[in-house]
Amino acid sequence: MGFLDVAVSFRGITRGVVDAPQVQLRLSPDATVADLLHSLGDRYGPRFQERVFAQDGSLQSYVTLVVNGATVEGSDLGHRLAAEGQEQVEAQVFIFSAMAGG
Amino acid sequence: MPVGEDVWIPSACSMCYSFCAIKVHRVDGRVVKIEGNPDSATGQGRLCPRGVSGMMLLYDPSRINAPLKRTNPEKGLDTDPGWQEISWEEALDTVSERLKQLRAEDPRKLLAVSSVSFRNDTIFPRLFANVFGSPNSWNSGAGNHCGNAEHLFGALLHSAWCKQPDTDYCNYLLNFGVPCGFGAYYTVPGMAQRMADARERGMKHVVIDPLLSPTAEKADEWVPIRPGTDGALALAMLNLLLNELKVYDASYLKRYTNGPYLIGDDGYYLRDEETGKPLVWDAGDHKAKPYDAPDSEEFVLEGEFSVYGYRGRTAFSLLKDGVKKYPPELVSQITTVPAATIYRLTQEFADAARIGSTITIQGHELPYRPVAVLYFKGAQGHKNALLNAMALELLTEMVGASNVPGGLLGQNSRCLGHPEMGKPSWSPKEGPDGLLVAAGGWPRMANVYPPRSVTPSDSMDLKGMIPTASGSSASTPLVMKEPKRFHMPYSIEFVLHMGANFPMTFGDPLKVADAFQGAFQVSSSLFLDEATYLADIVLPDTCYLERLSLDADWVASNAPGGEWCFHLRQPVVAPGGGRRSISEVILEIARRTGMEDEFYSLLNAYLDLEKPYALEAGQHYTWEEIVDRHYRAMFGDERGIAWFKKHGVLKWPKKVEEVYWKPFIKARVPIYFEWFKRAGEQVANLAQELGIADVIDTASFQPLPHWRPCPSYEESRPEYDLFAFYYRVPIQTFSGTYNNPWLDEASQIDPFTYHISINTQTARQKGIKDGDWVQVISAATGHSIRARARLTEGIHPEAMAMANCGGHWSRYLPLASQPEKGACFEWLVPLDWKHVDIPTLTQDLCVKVKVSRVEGP
Repeated sequence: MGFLDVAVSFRGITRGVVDAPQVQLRLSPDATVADLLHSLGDRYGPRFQERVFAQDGSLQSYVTLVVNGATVEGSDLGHRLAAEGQEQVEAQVFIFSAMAGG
Repeated sequence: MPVGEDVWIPSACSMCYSFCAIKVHRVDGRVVKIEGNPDSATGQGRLCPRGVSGMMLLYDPSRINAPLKRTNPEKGLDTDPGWQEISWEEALDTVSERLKQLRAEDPRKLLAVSSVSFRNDTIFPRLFANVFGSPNSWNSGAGNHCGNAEHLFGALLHSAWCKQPDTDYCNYLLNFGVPCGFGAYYTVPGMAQRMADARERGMKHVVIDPLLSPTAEKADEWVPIRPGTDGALALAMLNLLLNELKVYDASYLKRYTNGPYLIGDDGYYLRDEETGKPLVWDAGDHKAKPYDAPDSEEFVLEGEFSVYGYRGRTAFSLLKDGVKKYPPELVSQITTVPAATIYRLTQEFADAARIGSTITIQGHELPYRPVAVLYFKGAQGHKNALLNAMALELLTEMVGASNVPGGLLGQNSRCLGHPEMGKPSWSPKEGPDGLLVAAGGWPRMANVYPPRSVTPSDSMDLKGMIPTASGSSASTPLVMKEPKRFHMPYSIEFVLHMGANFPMTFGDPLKVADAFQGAFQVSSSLFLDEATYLADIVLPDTCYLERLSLDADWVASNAPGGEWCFHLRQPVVAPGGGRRSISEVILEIARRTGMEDEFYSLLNAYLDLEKPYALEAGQHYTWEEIVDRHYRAMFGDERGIAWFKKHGVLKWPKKVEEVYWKPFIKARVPIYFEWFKRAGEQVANLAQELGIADVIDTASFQPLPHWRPCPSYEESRPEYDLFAFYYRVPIQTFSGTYNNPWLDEASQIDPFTYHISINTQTARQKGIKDGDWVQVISAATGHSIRARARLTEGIHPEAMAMANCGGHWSRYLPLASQPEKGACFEWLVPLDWKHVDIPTLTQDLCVKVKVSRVEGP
């Protein structure tokens, strides 16, 4: 039973709700996107949780997660962060400000 | 200059947000003509007067050619900044150093201001603000033109930014004041052709509008209505449909809406104790079940039932009962539309809906509902925006005419991608409580469902606090003026401004200027317009004929049917003078401020750039390389910008399941907006906690539509007897085109564009003759404007109307600032919380005025 080391970078306005541009997390090898975000939520508290999750617990649509260079589909909270045997993962979390306007 | 050159270059217009495909004729290095590109499925070769006149923008001698800095420290709406030319090096150094300092202090102090007219280019500064660390960006068009509530319901009901009637099959269009196909709105010239074809085919077009507008004059029928009362009319029609004619699509309402969901006496869904899902009543088993129970025989649409000891009524029953309060006779008094006309229009609409009929298209048998209800700014630009829009939307929903042949179509709700690449691709899906989650551009904007958490907002637009707000925000200048009152731990100190003339498009110009003048403002602009009077540095921007855009399409620029068609906006001539594209300038600033790698990673995420197209840290990319990667990531390696420069457009047929997607998607849409009620309670509680409950009016957070009049209906002084409103014409774009000599000439020829329209009888009672100068005083602001009167039978007798945003005062716009070039409506519009529809953050444009004849200007 090993570990998965996850290097998380926060970009743009995401940094307004965390205390550092990067953080290292150690998760279980089969950790999912949901595990990562909840772990970050525990670390950074309600302000992070409210920005990242909608009222029903789903991922806010303007939050984007990129894992090892590939964008994770927003609804796929169950997506595994790493392939079998992989020990390190780089993840980037983005919160986009409201771009709308007619 | 190349001698003997004679070429036509494909590109895309940017004179408004339609982004029509154009072909530009260049001879010996100079643009001599612009035409619509017949290869484009979107515009079909058509082009409006603004598009044709683009070369007069390109060669306008009033354009800025060098960076400028202010020498007069005093700022004011009409205070000359004392411009002094500086080098690009000095300008970029100054901007970059200030930004570095600001980022170190608090990046939230940056505000990006932009305009929807140059949408694809203004995204870039807004992304820059995001990576900088600021949540603050603002399209200042909120006041005059943003659809706000219309966009909200576009997301919730249509998975779209906006809607269009299905001109291929629609037989009856009830149009509440939208210039659809007649000069403004979305996809202007293409929709003009489609509307003309539909009319020739036999579609009846009824326009409900206080003004016999360019749209109404070409319709079958014009129904004058008192400004701001469209929602009341829709409520009366709903009442007749549901309670008298009993015409509604029960099958659609059961299957595709939350009409059968049971609502408790507290206004919330009755939920299954085990799964938490909303309950419906199964007539077969005589018991309540979750809405998606696999063994359900038949959901009941109407009725009252007992569940877990609580009374539950179906959402549809509540709606049906609720609209009984609006008999046509009562609503006639509100709207001035005769009751007989309300009865007749409703009957015509009901008959035309052909409920139960089907049509087979490309082998798919689909519901056939050839009716649509369209509305935009006019009907919803009011204090009661949310409730007006809700009532109007429900007309279409009741007859099942939503996103099926003949009905109201979300403008590009679903795209299954290019046949080879599968991109771009988006599709609405089912979300919590079985309801629709919007796709398309929504996920990158501020999607409204599932509901966002209600939290103290960290941005000036208050969107963090108001989960129903989707479009441009009316709150930005109001919160900027009093940030501490809204518990903002910072104030705006730096404005990065591009292309939006915000003092002329967003309410009382004095108050707007007051909110902005304390900040250091950098404006990237074509002209020294009124907004640049507040700038500290002005950068000379390129116009659309001189620049490469990130892309030249968006979800609301493709035609609703026919073919998908994607374009490129490429420079047709080299930038004149010392002009530089804002996108290239932003890249340079990102480099100078040490943000380049962060910016690349944000662009990768925003544009879905993955390997091998992703921008890599440590590299330097030109603007052209970035745009090229964006195109190749969507359409494949062989279709980068070189391909588009050569071929102009990429198109492929739309599938039935893209255009008429509703029967192919499992999700339901709400006709009872349960979560609005919860959001309203949460917002009210938070406003109480923050001590701002006096300005956050939550009364409109309702699950069902009601009639609420605007504050202007409270005006009791008899001399303020007319409603003033603003409308758009096909020969100007907001405030941005008034210095264009061709459009000026057209506006002079047109009897109305530069005049104030008043009903002939009303004017005579005031002693006003056609062509007289009149003064208009706003009851709400106390400001006055002057222009010549145009007397017409084609306006409601209680109203006066003004076109677009004339009345410029910048001395650097020599043509636009001359007398008799229209008037600035914004002087009449108050900038205060009383005139904001809180759920949608819409500015109320309903203004009572006093009009009198005066001698000369």
